[in-house]
Amino acid sequence: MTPKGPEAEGSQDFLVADYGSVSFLIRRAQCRASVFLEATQPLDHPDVYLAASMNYQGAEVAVFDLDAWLRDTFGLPPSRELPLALITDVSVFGPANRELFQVWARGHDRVPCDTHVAFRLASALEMARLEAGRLRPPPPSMRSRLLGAGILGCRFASIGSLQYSLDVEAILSKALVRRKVPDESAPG
Amino acid sequence: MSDEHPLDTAAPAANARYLKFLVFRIGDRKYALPAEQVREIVLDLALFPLPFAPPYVRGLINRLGEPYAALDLRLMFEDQKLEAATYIILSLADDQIALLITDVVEIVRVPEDTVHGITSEDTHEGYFVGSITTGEDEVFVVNVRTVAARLRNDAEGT
Repeated sequence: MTPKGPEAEGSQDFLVADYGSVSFLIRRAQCRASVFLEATQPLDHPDVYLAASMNYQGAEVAVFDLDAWLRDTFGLPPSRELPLALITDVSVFGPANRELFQVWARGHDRVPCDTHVAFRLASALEMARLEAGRLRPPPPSMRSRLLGAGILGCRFASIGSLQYSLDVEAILSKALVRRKVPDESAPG
Repeated sequence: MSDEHPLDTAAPAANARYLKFLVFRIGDRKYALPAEQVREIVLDLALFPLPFAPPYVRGLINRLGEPYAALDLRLMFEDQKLEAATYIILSLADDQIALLITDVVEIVRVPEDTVHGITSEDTHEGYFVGSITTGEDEVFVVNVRTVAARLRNDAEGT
């Protein structure tokens, strides 16, 4: 779906991943493409959410299981939706997070691609344009913890519906910082 | 409002100063809050998941488009989940917190000099700022600053 109307000042395009009463906003600028996730290969050094790779335009791209992260983090039930992959060009990341990902990717034999990463989702996706002021920061007592985890804010879209705004770069980077370093226990 | 006492919300009588409190119940226990710390009472709001929160945070609620962390003081104080759907929306300058309660009992005005300081050592580490007497009950006044500080501290540790 393409948003209509002129580009509003201070507004941004988001992908909206629908998980029922809770949905998630991901900045369109963080996504290069979305494709059906048809086949994955296990990584040689699997991590909790970074356990597989997929072929994207001839390159083997690491897949971060954002769907599992969302379900674990927000306590959401399993979905029967077909899995999708959001493809992100890591050149949109900040320098430190880009390097963090590239160092991680180069440590895996099966992930030769260090320029892109895929985020697995199992939900319907829509596009929406929102003004920045429509998103509210988390309650102050929880703000620091949530921002650090990549949860930037929220918005009550309608009665009985909440949207959380996510920073997939921060979510991925947090997981990479916590990861087991592949060569950590290797001899010599 | 008096400059001398932060809890003062009522016009004084001839020689006495009065403070106004909301008395509410959590389970079968009564507690009180200074009236100026209460924004409103709301019923039956949808509760949304709030990740990385300590267990006594039951979720996030929507009040006029603003997100409030909904705290279960019974879980915080007694490690027992409260089954209820009434919330006190707190009026805090620097935080957005709601308290899950069983019901509202009454709003009382009490003479300032009958508000007792907390002297017991078994009153949950500063969670109460004092106590008032209503009828035959001594009712503890919740210290929302301490509650908010604990939430902030626990959230950082999750």
